[in-house]
Amino acid sequence: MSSQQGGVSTGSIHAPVHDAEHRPITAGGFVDQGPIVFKDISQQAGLAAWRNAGGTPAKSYIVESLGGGVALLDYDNDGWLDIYLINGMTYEAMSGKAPAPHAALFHNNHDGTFTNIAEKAGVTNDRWGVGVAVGDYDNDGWPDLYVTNIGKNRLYHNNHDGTFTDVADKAGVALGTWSTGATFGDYDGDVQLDLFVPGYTKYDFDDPPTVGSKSVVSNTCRYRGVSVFCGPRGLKGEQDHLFHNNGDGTFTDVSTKAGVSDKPGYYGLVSLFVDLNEDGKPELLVANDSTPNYLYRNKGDGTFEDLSFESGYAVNHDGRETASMGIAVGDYQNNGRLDILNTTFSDDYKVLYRDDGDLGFVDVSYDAGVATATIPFLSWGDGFIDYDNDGWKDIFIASGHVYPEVDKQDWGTSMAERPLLFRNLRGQKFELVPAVKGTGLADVISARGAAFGDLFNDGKIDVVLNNLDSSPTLLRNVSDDHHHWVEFKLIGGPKSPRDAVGATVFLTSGNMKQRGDVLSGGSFASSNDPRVHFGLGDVIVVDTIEIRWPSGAQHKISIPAVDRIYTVEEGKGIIAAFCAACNSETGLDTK
Amino acid sequence: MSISAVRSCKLLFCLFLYIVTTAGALAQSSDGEVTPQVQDLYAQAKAAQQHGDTATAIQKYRAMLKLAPHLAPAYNNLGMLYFNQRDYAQAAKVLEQGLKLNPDMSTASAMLGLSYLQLGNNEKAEPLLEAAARANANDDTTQMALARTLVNLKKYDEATPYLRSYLERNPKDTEAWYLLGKTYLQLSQDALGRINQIDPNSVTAHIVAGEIDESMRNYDGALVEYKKAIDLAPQQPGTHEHMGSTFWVMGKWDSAQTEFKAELANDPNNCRARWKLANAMLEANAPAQDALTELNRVVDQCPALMQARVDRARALVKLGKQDDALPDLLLAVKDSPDEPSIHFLLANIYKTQGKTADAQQELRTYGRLQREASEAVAGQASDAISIKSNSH
Repeated sequence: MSSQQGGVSTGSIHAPVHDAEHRPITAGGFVDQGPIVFKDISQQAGLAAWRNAGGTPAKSYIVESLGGGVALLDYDNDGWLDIYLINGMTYEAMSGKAPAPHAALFHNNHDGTFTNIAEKAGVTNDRWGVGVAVGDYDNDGWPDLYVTNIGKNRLYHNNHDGTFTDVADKAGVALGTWSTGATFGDYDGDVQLDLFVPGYTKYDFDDPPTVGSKSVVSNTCRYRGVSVFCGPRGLKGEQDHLFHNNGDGTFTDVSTKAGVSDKPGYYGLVSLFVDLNEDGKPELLVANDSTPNYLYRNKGDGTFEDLSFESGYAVNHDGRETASMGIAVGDYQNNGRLDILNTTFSDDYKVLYRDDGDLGFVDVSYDAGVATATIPFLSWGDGFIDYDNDGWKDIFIASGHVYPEVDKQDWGTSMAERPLLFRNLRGQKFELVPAVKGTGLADVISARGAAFGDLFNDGKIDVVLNNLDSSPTLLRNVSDDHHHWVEFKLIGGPKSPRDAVGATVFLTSGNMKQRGDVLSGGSFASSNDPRVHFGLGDVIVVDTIEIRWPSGAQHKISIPAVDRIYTVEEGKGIIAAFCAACNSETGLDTK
Repeated sequence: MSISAVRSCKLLFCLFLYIVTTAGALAQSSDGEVTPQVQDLYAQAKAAQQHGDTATAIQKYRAMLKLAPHLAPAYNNLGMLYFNQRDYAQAAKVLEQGLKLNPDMSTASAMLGLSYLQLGNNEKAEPLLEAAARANANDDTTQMALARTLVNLKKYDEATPYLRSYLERNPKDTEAWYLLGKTYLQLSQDALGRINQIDPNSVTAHIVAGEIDESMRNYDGALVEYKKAIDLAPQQPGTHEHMGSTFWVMGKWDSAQTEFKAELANDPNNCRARWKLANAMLEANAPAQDALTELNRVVDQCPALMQARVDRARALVKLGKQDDALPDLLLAVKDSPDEPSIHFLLANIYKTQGKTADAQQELRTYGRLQREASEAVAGQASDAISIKSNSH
């Protein structure tokens, strides 16, 4: 039933698709006319001076291919999202011949520009970075950063003054292996955010995996008959780790006891704590590369039950494990259930798992219209975003290949690829939004991490992409719709995590009921805007808003007006409102 | 204790009995060589042997033989001690001397044959072991030793009856099965080699060469050979099937389809080729209805070909005809209950039919089989990496 090539699990070889200029469709297929959704403002915004570095362009080793994640967070609590970008490493820096590439923390200047203050903030990392998860693990009201590396990880504690301090060693979460897309979540309901860290492969820089090296079990170093870097298949997998937050600044590794240690050593890339069965306790999703994905049901007693295969999430419609790279969750049908989109390798479709309830998921990729167009792309970060604020969650997928060799072949794919945006047709189907020349959707880039959020507080979801060996991309949402929207920044009460990770918001307007969740992690090794965003279409009156807090409390609130960002505190209701368009001087419109 | 060590012990036990039974003869033979001093040395040798002091026992026997150089059983006993110490050269030397004095000692003769085998002197071992095997057709040790000797001498045809006879009595001896398998493999290689000797450019020779390449995963090499076979006999049934199967294994679905279609033009009743054609169509995401047409034909012609039934079910599921797919899968799951993909398809169908409990059961089975398979693969990979890491 399966077709697997070399070191990755992917679909059968597909005929290449070219555009009119005979470019692979992944790097072409542009149109002259069409909706302009995203504008690439990386340069104007000040992001272009920073570059990601990942080994050498030849990509001789798997470690050089992964790239890094990106986080959107308001680290200084000024009400505007800032951007944290993971950097990789160079061999010159590793040998001490050059400075280490720095991660970037771009402070939002509130005027459409950003300033990199990573050095001042003490978050340059200077290690071979992979991913970032945002969570207020000590409930002090300030977001902290967990940065995963190939090597020791960092837990950057927010000092409330624009700086951070790495406390990973002291907290017991440094590890020292190849960690990937982590996630924060309170799995045991003790009001402290716990931390899950997937592991990818064992990796020894002194004996990197090549044909014949000791760390490669067999010749899994070819793709379509061409020599490429080895792995992940053929390499020894790294275990996953669940760290229980002790509430005193330290964590305890409870992976084995909790049943999530990944005994077989699957190649974990991304994880996400998310409540999939609405019992108030987050399940755990792990997207594994070329091995079955994990879906762990939270049993509520500090342990998890592995329902990966039983739920349908482990494999795709053909019963084949995929090279899963990214996880997005969102209720695309507006039926109150969270569906999942996993990104995969090229020659394989991206898998949309429809939530049929009771932890049962069905691969509906072909029926939903997201399969065929995605096959040539090798995709990473992804998200369900309502880009046009029509009340239906759309799909954004970031892509870029791992083998530079693809550019020398006529395989219908390319090293640099354009992003994909699918418009949700009222929960029934998705249609590909055309890549209009000169717009963000026509950017041909080597994207990896993708984070989604309202960077300009204008109610439109923007996208930040961390590109391998390149500068990042900031796609400003310039959709010309005039739909309404509302956003909620949630603050947990004494019985919920302060940053409300794990909270769910249901919004009903007319006959449409939407769902939004506060999550940490997902996409590819990235973290999205923690605020919950809803597009409202033409509706200007919202009927009900119900918030289910991690504590179990459920509150209904009403909002006085749409097109605003409301801050809601558990037990207190709305404590602030923000409307950038209402008051050009302060933008503050507290009710 | 290794199998060969057990076998040696069995033989040594025979020799020990031989010593005991010839103790009387010791006193009667060699025309007065058996003096009280010799008898005393024999007693000392025996005592040392009983205490496991082989070095002293050897020393005593050697002293005995200086006093009684024509005492044949003493040579045999000394030979046994050397054999026991794996000093096969010394064992052979003294056993030869003993057998010169008395050629009728069959156990000593067998021991000498075993010593020759250990020394790699198969030519000398063969007649001795053959005689021993003839004398005792049920002696496992000599039969296996003779079989090994014959294999070493490349007399594979002669070795197989001994191995088969041995395996009838010892059906769980994996080492013997391995030897038999190796023998058959060699016989097969020899037979196939003949084809090449007769005509290296014959269709059969190219197909054989292709199959050998394929078995070594040298698919490019296999394709070259199969192409030569096709060029020689484009209409001979089987030629295109070989080529198609190699493309199929490589995942080159379009080329595989082309070859299977050519094969079916030559032999429309080749069920295997038609099934693989349909399978390649499904893998290449060709219209499921086209694959189904082929699969219906295969199942009609060869109802026992379960892979075709599973693929027919796949095609039907793709066409949304889950109910029609069920009978094929129920037959297939009886035939191959441990094939995960069948359970996955069954779960898919039950889910569509609203049989949630059945679907869950099938998914659980599917999950269990997949986990077992992946754990086995992970374990093997881990072992392989450990071995490679510890190698120098």
